[in-house]
Amino acid sequence: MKRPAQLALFAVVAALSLAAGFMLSPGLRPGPVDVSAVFAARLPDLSGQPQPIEQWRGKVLVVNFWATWCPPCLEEIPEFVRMQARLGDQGLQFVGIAIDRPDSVAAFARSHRINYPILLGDLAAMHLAKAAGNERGGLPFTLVIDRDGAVLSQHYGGLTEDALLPIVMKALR
Amino acid sequence: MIGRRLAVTATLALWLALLGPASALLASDELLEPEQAFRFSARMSGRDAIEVTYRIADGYYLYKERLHFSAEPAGVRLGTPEFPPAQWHEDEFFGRSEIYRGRVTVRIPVAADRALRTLRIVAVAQGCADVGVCYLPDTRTADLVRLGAGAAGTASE
Repeated sequence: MKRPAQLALFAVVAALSLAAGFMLSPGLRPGPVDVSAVFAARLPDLSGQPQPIEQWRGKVLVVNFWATWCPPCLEEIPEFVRMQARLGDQGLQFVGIAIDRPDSVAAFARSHRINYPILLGDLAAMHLAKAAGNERGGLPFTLVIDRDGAVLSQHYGGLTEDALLPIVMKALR
Repeated sequence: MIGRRLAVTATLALWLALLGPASALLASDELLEPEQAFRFSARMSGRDAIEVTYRIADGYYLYKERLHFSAEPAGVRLGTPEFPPAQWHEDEFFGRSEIYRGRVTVRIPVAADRALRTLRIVAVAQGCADVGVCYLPDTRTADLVRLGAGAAGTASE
């Protein structure tokens, strides 16, 4: 078989298996992302200062929605902290959006030495979550956007460094 | 040479075909809308109690301590909710918590002016799916009619 034919076969099978994957799990497939609404959002940080998401455009941006009352959310945060420390100077930027009480969030951020911005909100944060494709209000939920503002990944449920690293490394190159 | 290339392609293609769906399943089992995961209903039980029921889908659970009730209008007073026995759930952050699976009915005593005919129950619940996704606290309301003693009015959502 010639190389283009091989590539074509490969592409078809890849597309089919991706489609099959989505069909097998229709319920958890996140909704469409409104990237401009995500960048247009402004939410207060832990000191009450409003922070526009726009300031992180051009980075490989990982927006993670979480809460302190959500055990799977807490499990993944130490991995994010490690990745932020290791890859931050290459352009990786985590931003946590906590849908929770400010005092609980501040205490957790301190005790777990969170080294990336944490923004707070209820209604505004839920609007942002919807814009990010989180239609069911499930946590944790993570959106990865590349340097050009294109969506690389949306994910319901906990992430591990093993799952996230290949996605961000490709985008950091 | 061509044969070997074909074999490599076929292997990769098979691997992708198997892994594509499998990884999508691992990353994301089916997640229900909160209204389907936790089906809410409420009814008067006589004039002096409200029964709130959640029918909880398989693979989902509600936290007992995060079930909260209030009532409107302002003159309606709710007594201490009577919770049925719960199950224990263990996780590394909160330790042991009490949860409900399947179906839970909570009876809430209510006291209000005799003349009051309708009242609204406001229920807040928070739960998670076993696949590792938790839902935001979810508020449901029901408008209930108080009839004569013993008669029951029902409503939901």
